[in-house]
Amino acid sequence: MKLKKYSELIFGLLILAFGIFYFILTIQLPRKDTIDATFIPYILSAFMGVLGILQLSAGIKASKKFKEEEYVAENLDHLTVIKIIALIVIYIAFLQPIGFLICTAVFLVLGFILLTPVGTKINYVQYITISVVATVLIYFSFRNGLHLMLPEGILRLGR
Amino acid sequence: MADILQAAQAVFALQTLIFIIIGVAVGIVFGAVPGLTAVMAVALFLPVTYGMDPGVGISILMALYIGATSGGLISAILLKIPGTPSSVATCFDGHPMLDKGEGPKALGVGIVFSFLGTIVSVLALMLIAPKLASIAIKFGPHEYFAIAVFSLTLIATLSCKSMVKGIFAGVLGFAFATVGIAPVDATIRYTFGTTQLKAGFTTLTVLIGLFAISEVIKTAEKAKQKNEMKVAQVSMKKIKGFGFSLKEFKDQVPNGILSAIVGIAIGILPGIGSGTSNIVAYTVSKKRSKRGELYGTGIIDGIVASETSNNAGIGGALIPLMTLGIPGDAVTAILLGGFMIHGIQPGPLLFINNSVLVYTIFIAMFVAAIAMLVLEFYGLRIFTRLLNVPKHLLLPIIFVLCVVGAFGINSRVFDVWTIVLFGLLGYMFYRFDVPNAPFIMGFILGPMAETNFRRGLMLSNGEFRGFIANPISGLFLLLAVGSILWTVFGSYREKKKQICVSNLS
Repeated sequence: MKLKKYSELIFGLLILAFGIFYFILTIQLPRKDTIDATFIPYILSAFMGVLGILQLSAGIKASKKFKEEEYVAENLDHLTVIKIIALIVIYIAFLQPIGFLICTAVFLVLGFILLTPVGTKINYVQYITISVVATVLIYFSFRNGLHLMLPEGILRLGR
Repeated sequence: MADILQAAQAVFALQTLIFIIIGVAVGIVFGAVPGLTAVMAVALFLPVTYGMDPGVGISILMALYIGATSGGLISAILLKIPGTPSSVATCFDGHPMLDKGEGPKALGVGIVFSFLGTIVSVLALMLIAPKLASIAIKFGPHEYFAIAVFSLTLIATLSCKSMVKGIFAGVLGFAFATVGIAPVDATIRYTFGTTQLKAGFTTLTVLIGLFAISEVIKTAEKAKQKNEMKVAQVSMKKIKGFGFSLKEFKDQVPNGILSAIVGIAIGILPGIGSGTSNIVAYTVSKKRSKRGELYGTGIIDGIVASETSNNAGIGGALIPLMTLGIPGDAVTAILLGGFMIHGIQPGPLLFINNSVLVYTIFIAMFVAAIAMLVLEFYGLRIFTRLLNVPKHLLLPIIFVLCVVGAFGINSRVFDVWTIVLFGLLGYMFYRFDVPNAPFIMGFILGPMAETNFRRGLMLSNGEFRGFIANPISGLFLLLAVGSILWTVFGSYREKKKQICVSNLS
C-alpha cells in the first residue's frame, strides 16, 4: 500500500502544518513586553519547525528504504472506524436537545450492532435489553445517587 | 496522631471499605482484560466520586489503581497477552510455567509479590513523601520551573522508537495547554473567541479522550474479525497456601527487594511508570541472577521481578504527585485530575493543611493492597471468566460512561466534544506510532514550567540569572542539560532498545 510507504513523510508534513498554524496564531496575539504570553508559544513553534524538518528527512529515508514485498498489509477495517466515529458525533450532537435517555439507548444498540464480530449472530432482543437497562441504570444512579444531572432533553422524568 | 486516628476512622467506615473492595475488583478486571487499562478504570470511576467526600473518593481511585496494576498478571499468565503494559515481562515466564502445569504457582507468586511490591512502595511513600514535602515547601517559582524543565527533558527518554515523535508529542501537549488565559499577564490565547475555551482544556477530558476514547475507536478496526481467545483454566482449589513453598519464598526475597527498588525508583521519575519498570526489573534481575540462563523458561524469578516492580511503581509515582503535583505516569496524571475535582491541590501544602487526607490515602492503600491479595487469589475463577466478556457489548457502554464523566466535570456538552477531539488525536497518534504519554506530560508540566518561568522572572527583576543562581533550580537545570546530553549520546549507542515499551498506562 502506498500510504504506509509515505506515512512517516506525511507525519512530518503534519508536524510542519501544525507548527505553522500555531505560529500564525501566535503572531496575532497582542504584545505586552519582551517576554510575555507569546514567548513560550514562539519557542514551541520553533521546536515544531525543527522537529517537522527532522521527521521529513527521516520520512524521505524511510520511503526509500521501504520494500513493497516485505510489507505485510494489516487487515484493518477502516469503514467500521469511520462509522463508529460518525455514530459518536451524531450521538453527542443530539445529547442536549433530545436528552441522555433516548440518545444513549439508541447509541448503545447501534454501537453493539456495529461492533459485533463476523460470525457472531446479532441478538436484537439481548442488545435492546442491555442498552435500555444500562441507560436507565446510569441515568438514575447518577441523578439520584450521585447528584449528576445528565441532559434531560425532551423526556422529563425523575422530577 | 489524632489525624491518623481520624483518617483510620474514615477508611474503616463500612461504606469506604465496600467502595475500596469494589474498586479493587473493578481494577483487577480492567487490568486483566486486554485493551482495558488502569487509566480507563480511573477515568470511568471519577464521575462516581464527584459527589463524594474527597477522602472516600480518592480511596476508591487508589483501590482501582492498585487493582488494575496487578490484574494484568492474570491475562499475562493465562492468555499470554499482557492485560496492561505493566505486565509485559510477566508473560516471559508466566506462560512457560502454565505450559509446564505450574499455572497456579505462577499466579500465586504473581499475586503475592504484587501485594508485597505495593506494601513496600507505600512504606517508601510514607517515609519519603513527608520529608520531601518539608523541603518542597520552601520551593519558589525558580525551583518549580527547573523541576518542570527537568521532567520535560525526560520525555525524550520515553520515546524509544522515534525520539522526534516523542518530543513532538510533548511539544504538542504543551501547545494545547497554552489555550486559554495566559499566566501572569492574563492574555487570552487561542480561544477563537469562544468563552468555553477561556479556562483551557480540562486535564481530565484530555486524558479520557487520549486513553479511553481512542481505545474504543481502535477496537473498531478489528471488531469485525473473529477472534477467539483461549483462556486456560486452572483450578486453585487444591492449592496449599498460595501455591509455593516457604523455601521458594525465602529464595525470592533478595530478588523481590531489588525489583521493588527498581519499581519505586522508576515510579518516582516523572513520565515513566510501571510500563517500563517491569521490563527493567526483569532485565536487571536476570543479569544479577545465578541462574539467569533459565529466565524465560518458566521460573518464578521472572514473575517476581516483573510483578513486584510494577506494583512498587504505585508508591513511587505518588511521591512526586503528592509532594510536587507532578504526575509520575498516565494513571497519576488522571489521579491529579481527580484531586483537582475535589478541590485538592497536590503539593507540599497538602501535608500541612490536609494531613488527614494524606493519612487516609496511605491507609486506604494498605487496605486496598490486602483486598487485592484476597480478591485476586480467591476470586480468580470469576476474573478469568470475565476475560471473555464480549468486547462489542463492553466498549459502547464504556464510551457512554466516559461521556458521563466528561459531562459531569462542568455539566456542559462542550467537554464531551473535547474528549472526542482528543480521542481522535489519540487514534491518530496510534496510527502514526506516536507515544501518547509524552503528550500528557507536556500538557501538565508545560503550564507549570511557563507559569513559574514568568513568575520567577518577575521575582528576579527580569534577569535569567535568578534561575541559575538559585542552588536547587540550578541543580535541576544542570540535570536537565545532562539528561538531554545522555539521551542524545545514548541514541547513538542504540542500547536503549532493550528496555523499550511503546506506551505506558
